[in-house]
Amino acid sequence: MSGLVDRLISAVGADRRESGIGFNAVYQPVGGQGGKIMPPTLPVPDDVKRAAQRDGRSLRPYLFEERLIDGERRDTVVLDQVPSQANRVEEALLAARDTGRLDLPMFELLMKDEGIRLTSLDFPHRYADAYLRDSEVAGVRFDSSEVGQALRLASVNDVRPLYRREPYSLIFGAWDSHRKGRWPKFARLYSSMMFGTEWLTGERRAGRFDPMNITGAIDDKAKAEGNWRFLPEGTKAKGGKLSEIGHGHIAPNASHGGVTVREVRRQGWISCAGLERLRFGDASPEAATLARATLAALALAGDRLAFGRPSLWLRSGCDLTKVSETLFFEVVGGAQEPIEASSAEILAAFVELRDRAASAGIVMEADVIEVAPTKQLAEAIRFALRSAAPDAGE
Amino acid sequence: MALSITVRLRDGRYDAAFPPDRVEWPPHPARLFCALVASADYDTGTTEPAGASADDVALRWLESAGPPLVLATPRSEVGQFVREGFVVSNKTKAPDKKNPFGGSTVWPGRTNGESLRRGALPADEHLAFIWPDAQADDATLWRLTRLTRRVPYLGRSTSSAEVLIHDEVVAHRPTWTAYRPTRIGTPRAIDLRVPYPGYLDQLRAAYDDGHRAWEVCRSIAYLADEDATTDEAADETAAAGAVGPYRDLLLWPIERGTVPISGDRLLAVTEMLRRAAISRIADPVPAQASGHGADGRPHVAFVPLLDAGHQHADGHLLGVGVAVPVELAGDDRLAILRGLLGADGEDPIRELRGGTAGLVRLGDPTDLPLTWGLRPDRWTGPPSGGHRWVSVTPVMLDRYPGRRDPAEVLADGFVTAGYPRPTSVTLLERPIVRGAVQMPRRGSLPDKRARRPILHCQVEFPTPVRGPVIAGALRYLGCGMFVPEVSRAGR
Repeated sequence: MSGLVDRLISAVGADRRESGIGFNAVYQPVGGQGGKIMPPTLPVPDDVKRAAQRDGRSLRPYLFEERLIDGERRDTVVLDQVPSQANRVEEALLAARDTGRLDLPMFELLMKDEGIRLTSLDFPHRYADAYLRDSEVAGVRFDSSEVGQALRLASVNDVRPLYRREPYSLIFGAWDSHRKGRWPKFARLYSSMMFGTEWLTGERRAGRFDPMNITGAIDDKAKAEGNWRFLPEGTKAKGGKLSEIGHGHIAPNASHGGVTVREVRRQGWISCAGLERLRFGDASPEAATLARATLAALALAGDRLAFGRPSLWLRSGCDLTKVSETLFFEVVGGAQEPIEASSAEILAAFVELRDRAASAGIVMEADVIEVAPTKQLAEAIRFALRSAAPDAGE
Repeated sequence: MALSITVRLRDGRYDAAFPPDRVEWPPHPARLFCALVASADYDTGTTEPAGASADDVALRWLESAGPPLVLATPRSEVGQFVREGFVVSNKTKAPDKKNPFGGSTVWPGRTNGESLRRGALPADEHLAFIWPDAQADDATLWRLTRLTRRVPYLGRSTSSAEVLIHDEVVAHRPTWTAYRPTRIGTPRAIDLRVPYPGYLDQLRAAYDDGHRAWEVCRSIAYLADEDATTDEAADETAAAGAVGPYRDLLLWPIERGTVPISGDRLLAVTEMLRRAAISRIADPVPAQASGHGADGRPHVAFVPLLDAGHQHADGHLLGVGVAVPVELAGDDRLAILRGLLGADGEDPIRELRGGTAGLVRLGDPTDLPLTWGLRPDRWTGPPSGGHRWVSVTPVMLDRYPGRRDPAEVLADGFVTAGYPRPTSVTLLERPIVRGAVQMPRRGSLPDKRARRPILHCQVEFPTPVRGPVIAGALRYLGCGMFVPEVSRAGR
């Protein structure tokens, strides 16, 4: 373990040889190659929709991109983008914290009656998030609170406030684009992406079968949750379709049908150059190096917690089995030096580095600060929960 | 000795766009410079004088080392992609009746927005920036080495990169082409943003004032070797086919930091420029410069350069220009250029005095233009010329139209000014270019000049015309100035 700690320290030190820590993994669909997987769907531009209708093709609401793979330009289908992978690591870190495997600092916004819990590892814009801004700490508006003001002091020259309370903003990147004035940008140090190679698109026809074979119509779909009236077939009244309120048959129609791929790859990266760029104010160079190594270890630990598992469930219809994986330090020129460490050893390395950085003067907290939504935010959240956006349907 | 900075795009991908709707390739030298600046030790709260740190000294050296060569995959072998995604916006807002689908389905009380990211996929993940004649001392080289080591990515933070420095010209890879600085207006040239002396200070000042880096960028034209050798003859023919009475257009920026001069004061400023020029031209002043005794021949024109033709254009004067006619004896041309730029070209006009516009300080005409409106091709059009032009300063008719159609009088005016007879002249009720001047300021028309109708128009020529296009009475003082009409896509 101390081997890993020393290596991480040297990898972010002044005389480092390492460019970063890389992850290369190969996955296949559960059940073997050839199994269908569902990539994330994205809106299809109107002109593409029209062209597909004209040519009688089914729509492919997926993201395809060319990549250089083993020196060759190849077509790939994107299975998980960089921000999404970061969110998966955050989820894994939150789960580890909740189960007591890892002590991490956290803000927690609770609305017990509504069953809402949002934490630092959930906030979409991290330390700069509007949920935080529109909250209160012990009755004081977040930005005016002691901790809120400390976070506002984080700058490119001194990231200690973020390191102390919000290290995730440094690892996954954050930029306060919404508050007035100019705020520093923290670029992500950790990035990861998954894609499938040599894809073939699938076809699907989907309908709905009503077991009771209900036919007829309804008077008003707006009354779906109330007293709608059934209009039997033959009734001379203008009504709506039964299917609009979830009854009756729906004739099968074309729907996006997923893809099959030769293999799924994940490529991840923790940048030593990015870590070296972080500055810690007037802290000693040794302390700064330890803090950088701590962040590297936290990113590495997060990656292991999220992706160190034998399989990975990205979304419905996209369950993947790991075939192989390498973790490595990449040194100048691109050579790879494998990292032989278990997840437990990596977590332990993080704890050791964090404690050593704290002894040297740069502290990362491990407690939870509870925040409460302002009246307006609570109202917006309750409204959103009551009237969830209608489902766009298939 | 030379200096090379090599970049290895770790994922073989370069995620960057400039302008925001276009993929950037090759990577611009200024982007590399900005990445180095972001890596420098710089304390915004410092009381030390600016540039005291060793990093700053090295960066100042680099910004003064001139635009580098860029060696990278040819543009024809670069794939482009657009990556879409939905991101949660940073607004706490519940969906409402107007926008029931805009609410985030994951985050209560928040909205979603679509985000597009563009990027390039080059055939080779390596590229290099080379300063072949740079002479960096050891201290500078060491500082630059430190800075390059701290660059985690180029472009967006999703395209991680390894950046290395070498004190030699790196070996040319067969997959590369060389992009070299070239003259503005060269066919198939592309604009790359480059560092320039003072760039570091400009970047820091922009950062401190809350401005963006692109607001202080400067571009110069680059030409790829592969483009320089293809179809050159066709371009030359095209350029030779374009006609126009002017050969050179010299441009002076108006120094920034002063109150902007409104475009409707153009005549006051161009008259000051004319007087300043004539006072510096050695006697006898050529007739085509003074305008006395050169009837029937085009004169030297003194023109305003307006901030016009873009979304935020407000029509203020960005600078002034002098258009020198084609038909000008060699001695006269030399005398005029010496007057404008100094005997050895090192002493250009820098101040305009004595007019109602007050003292106007001009920048160095040899500086790289900071904005589009100060580039010659903004006013001359492409080398192959343009068919359609539109006025940005109003045209004063050469004569009263009487019963004639003013469009016909205008068409005659183009012929008088030395252009082909237009196939069509469309009168406009008001200027259609954003920032264009509706009318010169009241009282600014020269005395003793007949007051004739003042109009805006669009014009189309049967053959391509090389700018500047200036027509009508008072054209030699910048009334009746046109810009090429190009589609947005052609920009």
